[in-house]
Amino acid sequence: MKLNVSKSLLVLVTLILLVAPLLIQGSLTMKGKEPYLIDRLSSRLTETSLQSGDELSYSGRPYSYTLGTIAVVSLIKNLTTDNTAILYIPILLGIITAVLFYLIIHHLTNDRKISSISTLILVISPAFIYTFLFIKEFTIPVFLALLAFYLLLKNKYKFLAYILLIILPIFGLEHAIISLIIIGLNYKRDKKHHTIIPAILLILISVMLNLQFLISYGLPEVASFQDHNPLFQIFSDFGSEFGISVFIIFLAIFGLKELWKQKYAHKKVYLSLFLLIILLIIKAKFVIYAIFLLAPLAALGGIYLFNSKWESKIIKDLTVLILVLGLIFSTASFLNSYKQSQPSEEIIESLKFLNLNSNQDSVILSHRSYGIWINSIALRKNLMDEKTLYAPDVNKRYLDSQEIFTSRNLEKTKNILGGYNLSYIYITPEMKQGLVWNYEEDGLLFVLKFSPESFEKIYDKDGIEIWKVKK
Amino acid sequence: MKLKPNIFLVFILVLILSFRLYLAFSTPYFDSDQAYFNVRVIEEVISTKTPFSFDQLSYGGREIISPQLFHYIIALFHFIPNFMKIIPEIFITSLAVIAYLIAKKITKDPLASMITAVLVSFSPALLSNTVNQVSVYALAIPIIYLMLYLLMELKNNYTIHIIVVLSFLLPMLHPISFFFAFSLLFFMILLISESVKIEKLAKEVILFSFFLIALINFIIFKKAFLSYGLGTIWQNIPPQLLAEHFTSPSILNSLYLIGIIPLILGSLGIFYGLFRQKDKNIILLTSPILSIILLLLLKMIDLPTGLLFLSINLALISSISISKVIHFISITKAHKLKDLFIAGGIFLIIAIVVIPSFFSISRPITPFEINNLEYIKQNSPEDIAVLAPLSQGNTVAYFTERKNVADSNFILAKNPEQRLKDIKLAYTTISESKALEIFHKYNVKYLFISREAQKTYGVKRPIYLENENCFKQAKSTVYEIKC
Repeated sequence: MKLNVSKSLLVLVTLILLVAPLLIQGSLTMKGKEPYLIDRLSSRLTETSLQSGDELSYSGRPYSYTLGTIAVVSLIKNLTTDNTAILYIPILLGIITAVLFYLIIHHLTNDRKISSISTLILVISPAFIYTFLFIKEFTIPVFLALLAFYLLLKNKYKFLAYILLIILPIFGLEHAIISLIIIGLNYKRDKKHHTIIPAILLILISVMLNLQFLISYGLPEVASFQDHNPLFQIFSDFGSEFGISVFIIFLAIFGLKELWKQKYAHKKVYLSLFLLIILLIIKAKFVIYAIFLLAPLAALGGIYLFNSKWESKIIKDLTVLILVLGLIFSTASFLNSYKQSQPSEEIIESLKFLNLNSNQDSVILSHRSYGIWINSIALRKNLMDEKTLYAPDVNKRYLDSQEIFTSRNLEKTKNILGGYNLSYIYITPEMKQGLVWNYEEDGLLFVLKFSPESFEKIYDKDGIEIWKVKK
Repeated sequence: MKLKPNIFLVFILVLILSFRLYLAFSTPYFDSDQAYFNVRVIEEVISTKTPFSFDQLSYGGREIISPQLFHYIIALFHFIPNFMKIIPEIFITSLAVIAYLIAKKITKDPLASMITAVLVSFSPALLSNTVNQVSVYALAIPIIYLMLYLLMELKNNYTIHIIVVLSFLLPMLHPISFFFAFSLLFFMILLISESVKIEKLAKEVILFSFFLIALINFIIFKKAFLSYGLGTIWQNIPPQLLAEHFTSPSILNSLYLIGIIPLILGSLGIFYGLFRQKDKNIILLTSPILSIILLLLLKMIDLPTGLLFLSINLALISSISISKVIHFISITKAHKLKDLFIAGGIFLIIAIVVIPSFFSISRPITPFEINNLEYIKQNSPEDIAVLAPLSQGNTVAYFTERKNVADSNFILAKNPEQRLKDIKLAYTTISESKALEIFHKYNVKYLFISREAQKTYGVKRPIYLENENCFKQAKSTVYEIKC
């Protein structure tokens, strides 16, 4: 079996995998929340000043978003079109990232087989497809980090590489940590200043960027209602929308076993893996960085399994086949579920209706998972959304929204609605099927049904309802 | 005593099968609520030839995720009268042969192996979980232990091919295959920690089985994993039931279900085999025990299942102690009385193991109550629901052919936590309006007040049933809701 895959074939596979979800859904409609948030914020960046904050999220909040991606997308939008910035550029960055990754692994291993299989494992992972299909928070910084790593490795344009690493904190603290790890990996005793100076600059920029928020707003309020289950979010097989396959971990274990044959010769790999595991526990989105380390380990493990002498050929062939199927299963499962991912055409249509039939300063009540779309598609204020960092009264808002959703008391409901100046209530089938309520006349649904003097249904299509609060 | 092992083994098999069939045919019904779900799946498979993917009656209609190979296999025998009672009993009886082979592999002692086969087959935990229950375990357990035996006997391609096929079948039978895969992982860890070497081929087969079982389970339970993530392990069981479901074992209950003899002899066998002999086969049998203990402590496996596998493995490892005892007798002056000792030993086993086994069988519903349920089937429209305790949800759905409010299949069930609360409230509330609110919510037209309901909720009859304008006693355990 010839395992080598040419670079052009890898480019083609990457392109197909990044375009496949679009072909499956049959449209260029954005899925998920991040692209909508970035799209809205980047469009408004030139129109509004950062000091005024975001007037739509939480009906007005400090501008606590990381600026890097928003600024770059805004710039591209000004130079080209919206679609280029939101869709085409991420796909292009995905392809370049795959090629860069191939070149890095080839440089490190001098083995085309390992490089090709590593890249293949990388591009078929749901984490990779998720990151480079439509613009995401991690799309640009991941590419920049990899580019910087490659330049440092090749000893070319090192100054540019350090610049790239130093500006990564603008994209978020997570990327600053990755940047620091990359600088650390490049540490050489005879050229200490090559590491220390960029590291100091990087830390200074990170501190400066975050300090201004700390000084202005103090420590952020921790949202008590948010679940944190890293295992759930890391593995696509366990339901994560951007995770990796557990089979990559299985293979990577064999890869580590293979590396361990040379004992401490690969200390940097072990150290990076250790740090990434810690980072993954803190924030599951680091999984996209983890995959850059796990993919070559998995490739190494796969090759080890394939090349090692087995007592039974049939068991060997079947085991390799199962592992390959395991990797493909995660990708197939991800692509299959992408079509059903939100927002659906129905949600988009209803939110556009809301945009056309409500005042610009209207505040919309819905489950927090619809908040970003209310801001971005309906262009209206929400009570709350899933971006909780420095959100005003985040826990109080959560408790109040729960009170509205569960209470059958009209007066109590009207009081809370009035307190937040809520003018519309946006209800989806998912909310009625367990996300908020379980029965037809649960809590607020009962109040809405039996209080025509206080609420008016202005939209009812495909199970989506929009109720106007009569003042 | 000159033994003819094959004849004696056949005798044991006939004895075990007769005992099981006697218990199974002592009632025209089945002895567990889950049995009735399995019966419905098998009947659906026979009539439609397609998997049972949507249950119209459970939780008022819901999607079903469960491996259904067992149901297809049983359905193949539908031409045999009472096939759902006979075929599972034949499957589980085969465990005696596998237990004999495993014990013989460990001890090389046919007599000890036969006693072990009896011990395993009459384990109270095994009987209480499998007799007359159309239980998937009836096939899954023999396959698991056959795989363990084949792992001990890895010699040729033929064995390997069987393991490949069984590794493929097991996850399509029952999610307990995850436990098997976990045990294999534990086995590898134990081998490393005890510095025991095994054949390379065995390692390869274990690796293969582990990956295959994981992959097939991920495929079958994909939707559940996407919905609950790792929570799939807890099967969407409502919090109020979770503690009860994954409860820690009480010593008395464990002793009763495992059996005092397997517990003592098994523990001695583990000690001898693991620490003295460092035998890889003993380690292979010990690893499921350790993984069960770990899974029980982590509350990742329910108590009856945990005790079931614990009892089988302890009984298997008992063969070492039994063999030692037989050997000890034969080298002492009492060797002339060896036959007497053996006969006494077997009598003791019958007294301590078989007799409790007989009483471990419980009947969850009486024929009288079933007769009452059949009244609902004959006298009600098709789209109504019947409110019954959770533990009788499948039974009610089967006999009434009407929707239940809840049953014990929680994966992808609609809001089981709330439904469970509502069921409890419907039985315990004194408020008629509250009860009616619940009945209307689920379109309940009949309330089933079984012996089980009275025991579970501690009420003989809810007070609100006294209002004869709203509630009519249709049968002695069935009330019709008229309001």
